[in-house]
Amino acid sequence: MRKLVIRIVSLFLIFSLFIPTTFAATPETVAPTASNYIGMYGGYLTRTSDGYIVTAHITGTHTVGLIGVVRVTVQESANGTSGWSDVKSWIAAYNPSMMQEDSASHVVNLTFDKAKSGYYYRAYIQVWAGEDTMNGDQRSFYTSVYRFP
Amino acid sequence: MENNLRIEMLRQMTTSQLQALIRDDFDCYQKGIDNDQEFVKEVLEVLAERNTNKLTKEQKAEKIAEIIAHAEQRPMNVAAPSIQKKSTVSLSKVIYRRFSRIAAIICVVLLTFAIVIPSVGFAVGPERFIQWTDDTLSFIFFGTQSDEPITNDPCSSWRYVRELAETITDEPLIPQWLPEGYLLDNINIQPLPQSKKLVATFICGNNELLFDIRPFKTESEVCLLEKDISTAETFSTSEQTFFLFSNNNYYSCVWQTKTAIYYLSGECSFEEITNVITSIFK
Repeated sequence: MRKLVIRIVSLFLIFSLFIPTTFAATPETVAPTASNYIGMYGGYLTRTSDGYIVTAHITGTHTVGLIGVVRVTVQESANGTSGWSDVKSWIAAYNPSMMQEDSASHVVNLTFDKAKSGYYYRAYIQVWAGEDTMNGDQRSFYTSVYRFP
Repeated sequence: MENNLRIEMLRQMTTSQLQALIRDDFDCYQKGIDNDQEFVKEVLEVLAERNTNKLTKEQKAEKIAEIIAHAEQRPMNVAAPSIQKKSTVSLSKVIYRRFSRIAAIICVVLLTFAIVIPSVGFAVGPERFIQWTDDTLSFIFFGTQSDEPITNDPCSSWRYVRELAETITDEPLIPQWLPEGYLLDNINIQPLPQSKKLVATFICGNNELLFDIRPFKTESEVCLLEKDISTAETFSTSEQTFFLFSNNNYYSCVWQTKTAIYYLSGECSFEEITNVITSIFK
């Protein structure tokens, strides 16, 4: 019994050696990533009669050469927790109005009008702010999940 | 035969020479000297031919006969109506030409509008001018102007921001102070599905202070703010809590009321940002 306790404690101590490493790694991956170009950004869905308006906004730290939304993808799920599938996408390369030159902020409103009753929806949004298409920062996030009535 | 030869000779002469002959004839008449009526008729006939060379033969004959008939009544009687008629014709020609040009310009303008109107247009409403393109719709108001001169001092800059913010959200929390040297540069209002977002930028040399107001959506929404590893600080008054944090070289402050999210960011000191937000309640 005593040996068993010692072994368990030993194992715990051995594993505990790895715990700081694990915790140290976590802040590195999700640490706040400051940006010289991006100040604030976000997005949400506004329900319409047959779908949603996806709104994505970004505000720079100052007036930058290029600011806007690189990509918006609307995703659909039957239960709101898993099985998300892309149902519609907008890419700045094909929608130039998603980006703005020489501006401190930009807002994009995109209409998705094929929502199914009872399904859950969210949007995956990528924003960009920088001097041009090469020098800048990009951030990605998901909006909240909305159930279409 | 002799007459024909003389007419041929007259035809060889220039119009000014023929006109000089007529003038000589008129001088002779005034001085009472007898002159050759037949010769004058021939000169007038040649002149008439030149003036009417674009008319038909019948018209020419009528014109020549008309001129000769007038000539027989002596030059003084002919001169006045002839000049009057000529001036009348040229005036009508001028009017006609101008009218043609004006009509052509109107046609071009109408045609341009017919082509461009699907994408560009304008309308004038009461106290406003509305202009639209494929991308923008602009309202230009031309109501009565305030007697107060526009100045770009901190108070009037923030007052202008406040006036616009009041159209977006109720009782906006707008500062009244700016760091030394900062002036209002630009105010940008962007459309949201149920409201509008306002972004004002103030500049001081190469530095910029940015103020963002966005009406808050009651349903859940994601709003993320960039910051560096330094700890965010809070600054509270009895009415409001402000969150201050740094983002590399930029100091930022964010606060939220029941109706809107406010974001202030600039490449200025922490104290200056604090002074800006404390000026809200002064």
